[in-house]
Amino acid sequence: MKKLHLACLFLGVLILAAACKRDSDFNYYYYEPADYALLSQYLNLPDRPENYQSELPNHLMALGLSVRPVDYDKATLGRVLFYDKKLSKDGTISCASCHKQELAFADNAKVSTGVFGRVGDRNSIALGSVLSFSAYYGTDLFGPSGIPFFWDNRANTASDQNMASMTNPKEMDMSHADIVNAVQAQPYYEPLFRMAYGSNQITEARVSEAIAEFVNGIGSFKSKFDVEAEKALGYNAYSYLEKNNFSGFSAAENRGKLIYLENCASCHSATQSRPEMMKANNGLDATTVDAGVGGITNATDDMAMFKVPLLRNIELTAPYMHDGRFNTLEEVVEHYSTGIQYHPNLSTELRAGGAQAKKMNFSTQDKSDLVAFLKTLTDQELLTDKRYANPFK
Amino acid sequence: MRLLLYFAIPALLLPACSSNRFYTPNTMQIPMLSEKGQATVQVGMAKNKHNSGWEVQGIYSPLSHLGLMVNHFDLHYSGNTYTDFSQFFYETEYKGKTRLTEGAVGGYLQTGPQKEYLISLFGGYGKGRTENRYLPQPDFPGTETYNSSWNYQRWFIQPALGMKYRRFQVGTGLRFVWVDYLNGDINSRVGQTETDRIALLEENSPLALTEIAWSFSWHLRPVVISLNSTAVVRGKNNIRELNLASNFVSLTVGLNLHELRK
Ligand code: HEC
Ligand code: HEC
Repeated sequence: MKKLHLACLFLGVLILAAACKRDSDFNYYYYEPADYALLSQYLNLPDRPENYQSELPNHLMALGLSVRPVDYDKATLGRVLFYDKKLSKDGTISCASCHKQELAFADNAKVSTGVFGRVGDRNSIALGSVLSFSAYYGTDLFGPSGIPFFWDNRANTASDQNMASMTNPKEMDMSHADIVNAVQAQPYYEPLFRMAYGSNQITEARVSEAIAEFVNGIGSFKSKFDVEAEKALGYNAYSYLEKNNFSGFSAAENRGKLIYLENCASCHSATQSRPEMMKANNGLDATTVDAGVGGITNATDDMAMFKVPLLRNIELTAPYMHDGRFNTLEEVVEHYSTGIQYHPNLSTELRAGGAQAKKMNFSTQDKSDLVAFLKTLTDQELLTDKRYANPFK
Repeated sequence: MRLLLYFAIPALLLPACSSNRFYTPNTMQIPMLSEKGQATVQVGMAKNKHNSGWEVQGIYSPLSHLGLMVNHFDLHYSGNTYTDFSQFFYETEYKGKTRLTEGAVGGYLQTGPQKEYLISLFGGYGKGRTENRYLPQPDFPGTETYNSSWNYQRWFIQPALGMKYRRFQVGTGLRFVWVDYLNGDINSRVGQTETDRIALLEENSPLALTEIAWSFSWHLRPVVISLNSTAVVRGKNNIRELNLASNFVSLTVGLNLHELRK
């Protein structure tokens, strides 16, 4: 029986040992440790991909916007490609050279400079001017209602667009073979391709798809305007923009909002979600200087017609217009106030009936109010969002 | 005796569940010791569509009323699970294995009018490892095989009751176990859903589980053939979400070494 006591004592000790709580130590990894070590030699990537899916606020969802799914691994690969200067003929230019995050992915030059100091023809389009390239952009998913790319709408999909940039002699000037070779030469792409595609085979189609995925992952919908629209949506679903002063807006911003809705929204969109039309002439010149869409379609009706840009982050993306002719928002507003030129293709919205250009004749107060409103479209988070930042060490 | 049988049959009929990803109980060894010097070694097997496992268990009494026990358990299993890759949900196939080696010390008593009852109380400790492999999903070309694995330790206390009736032996027992997950390496590409489940496991560790076991044996000196069932009686509510196997059924063949010598 003594032994039984001994056994009981042993059991007692056992219970005590089992009862004390130890913390488990589980290590969750996304990349194989060897892959991550290799990546970390060159890149500052998080140890697992970021979420690149745009989760739109309600006031935009209420418009019935659909967003294409974005693959996080491909977008992560695309982010590296977007910032990689090796993807250009002379190794000095990446997409980010002309699309700078701190400027909402615009360039502050009138026209951008590409490889070997070659100067381009047009002003860079701010990728942050758009709500999200995953909403409404590209004819591949959205058919004829999908918005095309570039000032002259010449690219139908995000992939066509980036292939055009990579091969453009005034931008990155790469041949198709150059692209594959440049990517193959960099050791960090092997694991990134494997993660995104399950195989490390590098093709130009994959390079292009991955960049498109990253571009589709860029979204800007956290401006002051969005915050206020979200609040206002609650009490009037249909006319919340016109009817209500936004409580968080200053008096000037609210007045500017009304001027905008009256004079600009019919083209640029009241909600900054998608432009009301694919192309327009806004009266920059009386004669055709740059044919714009007409240069692609050769149709007389399209001459000097350009993409109608969205105006998100417009405060940061000077200079303005396809040729970067205006340096400030005040100059832009002055253009619409008194400077619209009559061109045979001038949009009806900007005509004073017949063959006459409209003069909006804004007062000084109107102009500053309008500019104040345009500045509410700035999304500070976009400028420092680490998901979109340069990953190179 | 008959009453015990009625209780036991449903327990045996429970199929071994296929979701053995995070924990599976080994066969509870129910001591049939009655005197000093007795020793039994048994090997077990379990096999069905999703599982295949083997076990070795030994018990020995160096002194009267005192017993020593060792158990080793090795199980391979496969199945399907729903998880999400990036943001897409899919069903994926997995294969896994788990093993556990443990030792225990305890006491036993023989009572009853014909000394047919064998009461015992054992306590033990062991260490184990589980490795799961999630196979590539053909619909998602980007997927590969992803692994998750962890080491665990287990304490247990088991009061048990054995009964001998001619050539038949029936045993039943309760086992209180604490499964403590020590460290693990989890490839989070198995998807958020799955890593959430694993995190739940980690959070709830040590898991306090109560297990119940039955064994029916046919004693053909010196051989004992047994059918065993060990089931987890789920304690906490959220243990349900933890993907523990509910039940384990095995067939074992034992050799009573002390009967050999005679
Ligand atoms: C040398 C400067 C430069 C480089 C390098 C460059 N871009 Fe651009 N990007 C521009 C200019 C200029 C435009 C407008 C050109 C036009 O419309 O004709 C533009 C337009 C775009 C657009 C169209 C946006 C819209 O709303 O239509 C996208 C998207 C874009 N670039 C992405 C990229 C990507 C991705 C890369 C890298 C593969 C890249 N860019 C490289 C200057 C550049
Ligand atoms: C007829 C449609 C139309 C109307 C109305 C209109 N715009 Fe525009 N807007 C355009 C087009 C088209 C462009 C691009 C023109 C170009 O670069 O050739 C443009 C360009 C701009 C730009 C420069 C964008 C950039 O990224 O460079 C700003 C800013 C702007 N508009 C503000 C306004 C404001 C403010 C109003 C109202 C006072 C307004 N627009 C009214 C069609 C319109």
